[in-house]
Amino acid sequence: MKRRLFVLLALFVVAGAAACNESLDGGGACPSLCPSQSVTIRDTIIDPVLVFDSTFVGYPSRGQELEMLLATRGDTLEVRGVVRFDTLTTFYVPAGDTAHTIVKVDSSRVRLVLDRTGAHIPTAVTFEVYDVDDTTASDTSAAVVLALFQASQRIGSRTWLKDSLPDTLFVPLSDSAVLDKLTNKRHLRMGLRLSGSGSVSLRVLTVEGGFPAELMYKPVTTDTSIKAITVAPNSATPVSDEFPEIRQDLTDFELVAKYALPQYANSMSVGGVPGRRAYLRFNIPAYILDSNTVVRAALRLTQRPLPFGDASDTMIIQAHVSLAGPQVTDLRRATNLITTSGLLISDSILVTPRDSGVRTIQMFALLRAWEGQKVLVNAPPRAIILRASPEALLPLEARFYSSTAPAGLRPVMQISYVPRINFGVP
Amino acid sequence: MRHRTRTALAAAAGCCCLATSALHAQGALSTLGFGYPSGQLSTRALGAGGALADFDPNSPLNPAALAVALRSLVYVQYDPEFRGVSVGGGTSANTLTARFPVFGVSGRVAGFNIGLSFSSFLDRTWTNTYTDTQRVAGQLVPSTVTALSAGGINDVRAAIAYSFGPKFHVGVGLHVFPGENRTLIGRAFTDTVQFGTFNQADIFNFSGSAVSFGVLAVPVSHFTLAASGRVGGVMHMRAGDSTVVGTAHVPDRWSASAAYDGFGGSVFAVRYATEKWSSLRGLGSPELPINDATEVSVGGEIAGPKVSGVPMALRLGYRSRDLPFALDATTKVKEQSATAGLGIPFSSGRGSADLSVAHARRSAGDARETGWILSLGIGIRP
Repeated sequence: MKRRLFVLLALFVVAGAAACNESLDGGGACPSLCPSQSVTIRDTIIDPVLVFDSTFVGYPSRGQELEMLLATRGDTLEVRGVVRFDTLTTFYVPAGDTAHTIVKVDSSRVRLVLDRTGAHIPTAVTFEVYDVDDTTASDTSAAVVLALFQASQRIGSRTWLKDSLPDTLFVPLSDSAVLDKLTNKRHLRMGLRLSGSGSVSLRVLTVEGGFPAELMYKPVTTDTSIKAITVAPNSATPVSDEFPEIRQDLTDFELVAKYALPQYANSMSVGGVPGRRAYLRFNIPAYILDSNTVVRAALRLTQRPLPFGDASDTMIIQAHVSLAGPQVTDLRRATNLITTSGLLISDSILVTPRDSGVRTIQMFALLRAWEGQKVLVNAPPRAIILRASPEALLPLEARFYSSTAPAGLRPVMQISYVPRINFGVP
Repeated sequence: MRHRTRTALAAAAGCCCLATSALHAQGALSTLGFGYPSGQLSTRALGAGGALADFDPNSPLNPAALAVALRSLVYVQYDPEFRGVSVGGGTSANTLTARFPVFGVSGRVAGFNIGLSFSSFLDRTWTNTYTDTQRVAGQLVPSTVTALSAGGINDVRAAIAYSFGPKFHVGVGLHVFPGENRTLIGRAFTDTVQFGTFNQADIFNFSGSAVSFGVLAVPVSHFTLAASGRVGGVMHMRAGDSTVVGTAHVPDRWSASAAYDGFGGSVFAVRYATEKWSSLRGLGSPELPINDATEVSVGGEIAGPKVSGVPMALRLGYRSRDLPFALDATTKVKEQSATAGLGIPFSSGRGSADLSVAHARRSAGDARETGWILSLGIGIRP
């Protein structure tokens, strides 16, 4: 009898132990037995959704490009590059000897590392190198530097067929031009220009990208053990020690010689060279955010076709949240105070500049964040910045109708939200 | 043997301590509205179908029953339930839930029997997860709905009983009904780039009071009559701890029981009870279907084999009752339970372990629900 009792108790203990791991989900009987659990989603369109928008040009700042775009597209676009070798090695040291001044060089050349992502390469491409050093020129004057891209200033050139174009190439330079810089202790500032049998564009890595151009020349001597000298780029100007970052930036940089795309009214622009950013300031009705949960917020932009580029050209546009507080009234500055991509807006759009139509950016998380910011004393303006990714490295620009465009074309936002529901009270 | 029995009981008690709070799922007939009324039955009363509830000092219903307890008592109870629900003969949704429906202490002071108990009045804890497709901004989007509720309303009773001799006992109890209900409803989408998850969490608090009284009398040898009632006071439901979202009254409850113990070591009883659940109208939304409920139970216990010289109790019972909350105004939820149990004394009667099992069938319209409720109650008389 006691043994049976013990077995019975043990069974209860086992059953009780099993019940410690509850399995509560009774959803299999829903929604028949869960009539109060429906979550109704409502849709609305906010039109207009923008207070205003503005397009700003010139991103990134000169010389901060991770790569350098070289492009020539007929009479529409031409982007050139400059690499500064302001400090040159003027001597060589034979083994067991003292330094000897270089009096003659040969095999002068410049090494360039290419990034062919998104490149347009025709049957043949030609790299031309110009001497664009002008001690009287302002460092920031593109016009002065561009004026030096003349045949008389050309110090090197080479043409490759498309199939034989290497990823790392060497453009031969005039030995006399290099020697002139060495003997006269002048800067060697190279202007790079790309041309081809058709429209051409590709990118050259820079100091910021980790693989800058390199200058090489070999001192002419009877000592066969003397190797070629490799010089890394650097900039000696601006002279003041207060601007080391600017000197770093100006070591190599892009120069836009031509950018003749049509301009439209009631438009905002993203991309291009130099880069354009669009600043969009929103006006979301308080009743949407105050008492509802936004589950979807699609910013709908109407793309305006731009007769530029190929039908297969695509670019990525990312939306960044403005971090500038209300004290920042300079909107151009505000376009630099932005979140990293993917924060609060994980969506991006892929566009072909020649296309038209409605493009959407999903940004529900941002609207929720804005709702949370209403408790702040100085809540930042509700704004986002549209920028191309990568910026200023592809000769592509997208246009969208702006807030001043007529209804039906201007930006709107389609919001899906769940009103507060009376769930807890049966 | 005694050592092994103690070990088993200790393991059971340990399991009780490890288990989480009492929970059960909606998506079920029994947990509609403000939740499931477990009946505030001890394991012993449950084993006898509830028929012994008015005579049982561990069931916090009849305060006069405290007079039956001759010694101080600490009592705790653990009730897991295995439940299956089907609608229209479809696939059954099975859940496993656990409850701690009754805890109490009682003792004798200056000729009075006093008791303090904590019991589950309405248990509104459940979870539902199901998938559906919503049309959002013109497109059909798969999503998962999650709804959960945790908590409920409890009954804390302080009671006192007095015996006018061995044949007449009276008692009175003061009740407060604290409660908390945490709810969450959410919808999650598979496409997390386009759609954000919706979650709404709320906390509701309950407060209420009531007075209960009861009587036990032995008008004829071996016949015992019992009656008890509860008169409900005001009950509030608050959102958080401030805004009153509903006001109602604690339901009045009346019950009457008769028992016969003419056979040695046995008792047979029948009980009728009614509870005016409609008094809760006003606490929830006006559309909530609430029905007054009646309960009829019959059952008994007989002396079984002895353990260490003390007889065990064997119990059988049947209970039929209405549940207070329904799907609609025209359909009541009925519950019929067949129960069985036994009481095992230990430590020469200084403690007892009660075991019960109840098979409950609930129905409303084309929905069917079955539940197997195991109950383990442990009483210690220090």
